[in-house]
Amino acid sequence: MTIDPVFSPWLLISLLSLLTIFFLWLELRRRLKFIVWRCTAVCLSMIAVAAICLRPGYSVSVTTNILLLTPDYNPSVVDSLLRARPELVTRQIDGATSYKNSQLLTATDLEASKQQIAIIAGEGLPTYALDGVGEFQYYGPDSRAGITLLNTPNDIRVNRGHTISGAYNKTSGGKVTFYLESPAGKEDSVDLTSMENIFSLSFTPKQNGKIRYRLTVLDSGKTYTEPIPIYVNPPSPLNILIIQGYPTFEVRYLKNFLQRRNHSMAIRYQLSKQIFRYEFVNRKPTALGRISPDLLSQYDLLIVDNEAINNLSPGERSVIRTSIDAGFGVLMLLNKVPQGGLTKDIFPFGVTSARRDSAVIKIGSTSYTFPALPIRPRPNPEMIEVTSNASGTLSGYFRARKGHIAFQLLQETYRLVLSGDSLAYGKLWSPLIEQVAKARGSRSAISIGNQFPFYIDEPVSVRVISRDASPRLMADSLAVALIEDPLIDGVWTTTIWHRISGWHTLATAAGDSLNYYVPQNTEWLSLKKARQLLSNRRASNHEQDESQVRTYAEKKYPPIIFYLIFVSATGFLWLAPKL
Amino acid sequence: MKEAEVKYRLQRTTQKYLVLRLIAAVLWCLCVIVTCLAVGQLLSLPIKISWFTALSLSAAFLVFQSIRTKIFSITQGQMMSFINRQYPELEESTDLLLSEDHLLTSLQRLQKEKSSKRFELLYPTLRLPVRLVWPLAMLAATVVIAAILLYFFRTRTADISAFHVLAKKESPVSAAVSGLKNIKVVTLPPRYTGLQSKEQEHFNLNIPEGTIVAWEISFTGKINDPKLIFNGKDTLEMGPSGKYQFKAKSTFFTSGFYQLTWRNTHGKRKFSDYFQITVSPDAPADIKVMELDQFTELSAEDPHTINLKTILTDDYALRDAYIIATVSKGSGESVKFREEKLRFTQPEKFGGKLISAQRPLDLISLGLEPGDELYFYVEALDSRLPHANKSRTETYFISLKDTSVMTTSLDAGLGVDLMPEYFRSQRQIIIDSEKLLKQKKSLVREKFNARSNELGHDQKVLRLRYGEFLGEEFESSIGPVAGVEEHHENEDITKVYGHQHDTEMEHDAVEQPAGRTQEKSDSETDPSKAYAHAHDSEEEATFFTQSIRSKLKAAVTIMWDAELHLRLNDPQKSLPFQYRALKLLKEISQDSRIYVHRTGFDPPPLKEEKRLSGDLSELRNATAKDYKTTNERFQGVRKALAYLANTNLTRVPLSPEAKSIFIRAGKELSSIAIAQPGRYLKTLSIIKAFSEGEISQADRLDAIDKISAAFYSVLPVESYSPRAENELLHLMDEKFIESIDAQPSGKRK
Repeated sequence: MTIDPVFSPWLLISLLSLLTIFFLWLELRRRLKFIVWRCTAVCLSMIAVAAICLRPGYSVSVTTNILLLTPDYNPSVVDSLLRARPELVTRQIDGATSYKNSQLLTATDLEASKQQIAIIAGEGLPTYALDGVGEFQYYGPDSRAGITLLNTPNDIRVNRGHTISGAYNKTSGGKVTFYLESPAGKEDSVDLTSMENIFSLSFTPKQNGKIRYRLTVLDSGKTYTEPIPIYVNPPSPLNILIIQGYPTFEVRYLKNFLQRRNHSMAIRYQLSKQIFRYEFVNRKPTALGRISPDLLSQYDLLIVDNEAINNLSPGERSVIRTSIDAGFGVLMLLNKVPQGGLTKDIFPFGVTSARRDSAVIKIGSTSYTFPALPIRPRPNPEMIEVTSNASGTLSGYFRARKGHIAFQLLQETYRLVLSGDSLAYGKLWSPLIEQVAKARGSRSAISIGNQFPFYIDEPVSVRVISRDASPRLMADSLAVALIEDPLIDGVWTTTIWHRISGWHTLATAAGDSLNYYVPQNTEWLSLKKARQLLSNRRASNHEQDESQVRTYAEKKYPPIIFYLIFVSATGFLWLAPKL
Repeated sequence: MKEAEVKYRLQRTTQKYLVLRLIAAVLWCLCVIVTCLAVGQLLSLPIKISWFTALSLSAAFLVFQSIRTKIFSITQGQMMSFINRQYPELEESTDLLLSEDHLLTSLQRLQKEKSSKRFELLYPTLRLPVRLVWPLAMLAATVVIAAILLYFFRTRTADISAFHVLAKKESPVSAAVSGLKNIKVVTLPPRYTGLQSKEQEHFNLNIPEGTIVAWEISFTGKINDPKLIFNGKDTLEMGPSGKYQFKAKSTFFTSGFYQLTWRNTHGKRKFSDYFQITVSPDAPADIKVMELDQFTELSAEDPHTINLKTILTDDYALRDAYIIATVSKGSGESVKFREEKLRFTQPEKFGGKLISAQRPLDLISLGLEPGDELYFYVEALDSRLPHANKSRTETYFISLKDTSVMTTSLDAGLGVDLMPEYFRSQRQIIIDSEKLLKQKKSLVREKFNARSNELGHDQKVLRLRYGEFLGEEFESSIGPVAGVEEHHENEDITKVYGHQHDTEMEHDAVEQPAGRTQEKSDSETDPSKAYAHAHDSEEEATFFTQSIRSKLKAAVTIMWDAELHLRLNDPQKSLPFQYRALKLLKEISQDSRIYVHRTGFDPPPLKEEKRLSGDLSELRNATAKDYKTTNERFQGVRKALAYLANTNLTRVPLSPEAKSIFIRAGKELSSIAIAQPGRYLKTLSIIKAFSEGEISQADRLDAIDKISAAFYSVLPVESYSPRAENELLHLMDEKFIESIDAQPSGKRK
């Protein structure tokens, strides 16, 4: 038995005890009959008062399994479930159509009843609301037409081709056409025949920053359009050091190409044994006499040919190797077949001779023929190809601890520039250079845990990895409190809610930022439902579990009983002298 | 007063009351009409709708008023009751005045007489219960308020709507610029076109090249400093030609756009929308040679007279046409040429748009012998002034077969005769170029230019012939394309003749989806292409070994430049290229014979005083610095695009900074709009209205979409540039890498 006293039970008991003694004394003083009965009535009345004030109760075991109805549930499925398990209590959330004997669960009630949910029917609970829900079975709705999956690239760069892919759920067997539209108009299109449901569309952004693409779907004469928010990362110029045995057209054109894109470079050509020519592009002149760790720390990438690498002293080569291990990138332009083998510490690939001294490669949809050094690196699982053809790898790189070592066997690629095809020249060189160059160390990284789309007033979980002891996060210029992960150092989390749709920015004090888009409530509904359905399915227990969740509920004795006892006892005390 | 007179007066009073009531109702109706019309004007409703509403409401009001005041149901009895109530001195006896005496008692007659006398006295001062002062005052007030509102609001609306609308093709004046009373645009095409002058009442111009356009614009009120701005930069002041009337005149040779601007009485400058100027250039004559193949070989038995029939057409009129025939005799380096200008026999005089001209070419009289060749082309001049458009056909070749000569090849390895004889050799072009340079002073400029251009053509023919051996098939015709000889001064000739690739607009012109479709179709037509390793390219499929091929390619490339400078009327600059081409051709012809050409190294003579002195003071390291930060093209457009993406402009008005961003972007866009006015003029107008805050909030989203589309479409696709990656290595990642590196390589697997 439990009590729920209105005020301090000890005080109450003391007071009532005193009153009981007093009333008993009064009754004993009165020379009347029914003395025993009157004393009993006094005690009973005091006990009744004590019970009214102490509110005694008892605990009972009850079953509270909930069948939660969410929007778009199938009533016939619910009927069957209730027939099979009549002990289930039906509850519904906002937006679900009403069902007999079903009560509406508010957001607060839902939070309190999560453990009791045994079955969810309909489109399910939002992903963020599934936390805390115990084991449950899920009965989803019938499949609907619409986009059910969307993959957009994470790191989008200006003037580079990217692909958006996704899946589309078709209800009819007809053709479905997808158009990807940039602000200027249609950029790509694709038809899905009756057997396909995966689409892929390509685009090349021409401007960095925030761009709203549009995805238009034409299905069975109906058209609907969804926005695809794209954030194109701004260009970030590289610092490149070029060391050459002698000047070549290849490096001259590469330098011009990089210069036009505002990269800064320092170039050293060896004109004779003691005479060098130095060129500094978009940067101040510095001493390039001897390769030292300090010198290499100023650059992201070293481009060097075999002549120059062979002329370096063992000490300089050792410095380069150490820098590579620390994250530096080296690109070797092999312009002649190395005699007596390559410097193993910097160029660790084994090579085999090739039959041809030219190579046909495909850049985009066009084939190009270039002279190529008649050697190919031996197949190596650690090597990552960048350009290759049937004869082998023509350019590629491998990771050496934190850094990269790359090579280029193609020669006279400047002919692309001469023929006016600078787009192909960029496609040939840029991937190699940017994958090899040293990554800029940032102090923090921001990521969002929710999958697109997430809407206004939905909790968005943010994760910050920071090297700072106490990082600061700004959400659209408002400071947000961060909680550090109790197990992993430097990992911080927080949850934010958005009040308006559109572009938002998260930024750390270290200067790193993340731009993302919150769609309007009417956008991307099919994708939202598909993702919600999937997360409910993943969270649900597929096995039939009919075990009842029994909980102990507190039940109070009805106070009316004590009241009646009190009235009866006091009534007897009033009546007794008159009898 | 007599009884009849009393009756008449009572009747008159009733009628007067009716009339006054009606006047009052009409005055109220006028108030309604004035109000409706004023509201209609303020809301810019069509005048018919305003009138319809005004009349409907006033009619309804009239009916309501007549029912309320019972105008049409007033009787004399009611009038008498009113008089009785209003004038107690009549002692409620007015009705007795209308009663017959024999129906009245003596007392009533007495009272009637008494009342009659009193009525006579009262009649002049009788006041009816109708007051016209109120409706009149209301009408006056309505008129005054409507006039004030219309005056102020219409002035403002005129200012605002000056920015709107317009670019429609046939927009009437009233819709084009509010505040304009009348516009008259007179276009006078050049006389040689034979076209009549036209008068139009809209701003968009579609005119032939060289047309004089005169504007006469009347404004509704006083304005100052009206100007016409062409292509966003050239300004033409308009002169006064009457009260609030201005005029201007200009001649157009190129397409573009313009706008009207003026200062209002407050000194604020107002701009109209942009208007299109579409200039149709005078096309050169089109010449078709009928019933003759480009290459004709005649044997001795064939008739030696060829009837040359041509059909000449021009968009306006032809002025002259003739045949330039060249007889080629001899072979190899000893070839001789004789050039003649032949007139058509029919018609003798040229004129009109379509002419069929012909002339028999008697090869014998032209001096052709077996083995000789005649090559000719037809040249036509149209009526364009001051400089006629000149066009010509491709060169036609007629050769007389010489069966007595057998062609033998001394070099079996070469396999083909590299030197076809029907075009000038490189040496001959050099000789002619030098000759032309010598004669430069004696020749008039036009003649000099024409000859240089002809040499350029010959150089082109030579280049194409050699190009054929290289498998170059991208330029199919040897002859010139009609009308390319003369270019407008503003045109960049180097772009026309230059060997250019990868200009930004080229890439822009190719729509990505189309490219994708092409890509798809390629792989669809031949799926093996994606996997096959193609070895034999068309470039390599020639008769020559690699060294000769590369030399020949180099020679052809040099010929491009030689031709370019000849076309630019600069033989002096062309000559070095011609010599280099000749040198290479010589080498090619000798390549198969020279097996080794041993050359020794001739060192420069040593300076004895420096020999073995060990002086290295003049040998130094060289350092070059180059700061060339390349600015992106269309920076204004990019900035405006970024601004549009970052700022929610559907509600917020533009700040002065934002205005300047859009103005700069608009200027960049206008530079493109000059070339493609139809494409961007509307957007320019929207940008203008947007930056001036003249677009309503409801239309802003649509305007932003249109502006973004135009801005994004002008951005060129540039080559992809490498980018520095950002990477954050967590301490745990670093430790992980270190632990992997610490493991022996064998264990790592």
